[in-house]
Amino acid sequence: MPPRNPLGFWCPVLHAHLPYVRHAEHEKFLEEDWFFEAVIETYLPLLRMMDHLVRDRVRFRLTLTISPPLLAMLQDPLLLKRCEGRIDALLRLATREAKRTALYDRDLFEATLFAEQDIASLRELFLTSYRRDLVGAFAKHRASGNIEIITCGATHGFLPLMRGIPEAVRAQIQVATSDFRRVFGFDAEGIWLPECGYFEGVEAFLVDAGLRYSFLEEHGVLDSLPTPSFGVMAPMMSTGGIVFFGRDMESSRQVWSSEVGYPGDPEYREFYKDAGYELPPRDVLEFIKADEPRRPVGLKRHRVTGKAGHQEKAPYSRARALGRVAEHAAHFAQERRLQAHRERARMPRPPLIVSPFDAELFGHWWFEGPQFLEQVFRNLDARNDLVATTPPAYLAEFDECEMATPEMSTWGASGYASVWLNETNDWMYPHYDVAARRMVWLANQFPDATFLLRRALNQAARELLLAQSSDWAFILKTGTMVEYASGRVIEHIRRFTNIAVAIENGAIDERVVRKFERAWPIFPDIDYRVYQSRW
Amino acid sequence: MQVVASKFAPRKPQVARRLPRPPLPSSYGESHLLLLARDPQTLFAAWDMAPSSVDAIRNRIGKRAFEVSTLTLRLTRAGGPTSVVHVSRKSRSRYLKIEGGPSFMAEIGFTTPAGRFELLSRSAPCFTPMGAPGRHALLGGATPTILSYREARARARRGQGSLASIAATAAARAEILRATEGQPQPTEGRTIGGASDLYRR
Repeated sequence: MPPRNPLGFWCPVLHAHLPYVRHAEHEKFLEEDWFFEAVIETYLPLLRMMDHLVRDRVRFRLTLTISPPLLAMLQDPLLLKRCEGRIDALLRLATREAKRTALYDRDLFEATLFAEQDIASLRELFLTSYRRDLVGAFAKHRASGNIEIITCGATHGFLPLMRGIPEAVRAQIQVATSDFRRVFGFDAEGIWLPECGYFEGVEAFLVDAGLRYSFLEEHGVLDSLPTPSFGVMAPMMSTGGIVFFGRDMESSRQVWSSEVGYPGDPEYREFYKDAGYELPPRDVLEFIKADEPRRPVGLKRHRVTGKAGHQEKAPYSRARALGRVAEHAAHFAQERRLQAHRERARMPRPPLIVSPFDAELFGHWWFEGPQFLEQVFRNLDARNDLVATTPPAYLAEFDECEMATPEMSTWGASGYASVWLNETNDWMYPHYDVAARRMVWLANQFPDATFLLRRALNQAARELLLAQSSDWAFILKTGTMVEYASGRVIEHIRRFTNIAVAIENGAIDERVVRKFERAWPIFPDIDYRVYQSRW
Repeated sequence: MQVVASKFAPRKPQVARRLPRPPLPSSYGESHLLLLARDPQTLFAAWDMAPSSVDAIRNRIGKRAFEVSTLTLRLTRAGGPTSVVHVSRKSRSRYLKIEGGPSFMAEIGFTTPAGRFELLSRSAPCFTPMGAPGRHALLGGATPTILSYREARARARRGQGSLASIAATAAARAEILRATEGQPQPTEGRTIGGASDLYRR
């Protein structure tokens, strides 16, 4: 039981999202690896963490965004089958490597043996415990009251740059909430605004979709009019009728920072040193064809070690890493207690510390992240002074909010839109704008389409939504997979335009519509009328 | 950002892509000006020019005058001054440094040798974040009202909410239109919040 008068509350929020990547036309497609890696390294380990806590009767509360594209991929039989193949291949590689390293390098052998056992354990979870149904597994934890699942923009479209076309914003919200209802069978109460991107007025669309709360970057709260008395330590009610929870930077920095954050500890597993780069090509042929450039395959057996070069990285020791996890979790929990104690002195109610993170930080980037979270929850449960909570649980306890109007804000570098609008990606926006206005026109022009026309309009809506994913702009900015990201934008805009022209000319080709529908089987229940004008 | 980037990071060098790559059109044949707020100091303007609109201006002011006219972006802050930026005829976008806010409107057109502005397209109002100094200047020492969730939600629904801010968008547009009163209207353009004339067939 939580204490009656706690020192404070801690609200961890994990935002799980990946862009919709599915290429059935290819036997293997490089960017589908994003999904496989996230399943193997983050979603399965997070579920395993939750299972352990439930087994040990440890009280924990966690808020989890599952974005609609991720939901679609987590339910896609083709991707799940391919994911199973990936796990099997990884297990085979780890087994071969364990046999090989046993002969000459004891430390590397033990690191490889741990990797093999870990992959085998995850495979068992994936195939036997969850029967490939990770969405169902998360829903089960939600049903038991341990986690709160919330939604996001339909394709993670960056809303502040869409505000000139209200119908486009509404479509991102309404399609997301409808899809959430279709998958889970209940309504989402909360939403993670894509990239934590808020603009004044977005509340109208959230309220309209039945949503109750969302999250803001710290300066979105602190620059509100008027400034809330307790900053981000209590939720605020925006003048638009949505409760906003502000991000606490202090707790975020402790995990995120590449300099002072925990993940850079020398004992933790090294992200960049991977068997895909180290082994002879013939040993990783299941992952990388002979004529392809080397890339990671997911078998990592070294620790950060320090600032040593890749050749000097020492083999990973699970026992030593877990020792550091225990220390870091205790440190994090204690720092939150001190923070709560400090804030409590100036507040009439216990402070609320909201710590949002990208879910993929835990496990994928920071291998020990799920164990860290588990240890933090165990620590809080044992001491029972700082209480882990979710937004609905907190709102049930504290009914009063201060009312203010937040400032436009995002969680990107500089706090506004410069990550998603700059010289690397600004070419997209005129195309988005033309396509969105055209979609609105089509939806108004054909208010009650049926049969093939309806399918064509629905597919046009899908293509527009897929083009709008903020991931493409982000990838162009970071310069990682530039060609793929720009190619996706071009492809979706071209497909949208093809369909729009066909509709306008009354010359819809059913084969083309069917081809596009099969290529991107997302949002099966989409209704293009979400783009009809109301203003 | 470093961590988020890692979702997509460990894939260098890239392999040859298999997706179709025909370019998108450089023009959609309509006169349109898009204005986006990037941050409290920067707007992004992107424009397209319908050949028919350009021809109409050329016919109106004469071929010789048109050839020495300059393509001009005019940026008006609600309740504030209008600034003018001359841009290359080949350019289609520009970042604009701004001060203050919270709303702006831009126009693209040709400035004739006589100084007359021939309008091609006007943007929708663009709302900018003000940043902490600007916001706090507006604050005036006010403190937030404390309400129960139910009461606050009801108050928001009564019209203090974001639907009101959509109305504010229209009000800001009206204000900027008043500031630019007397200027010629676009010869071909768009309806704010709706579809372009291009698609009204």
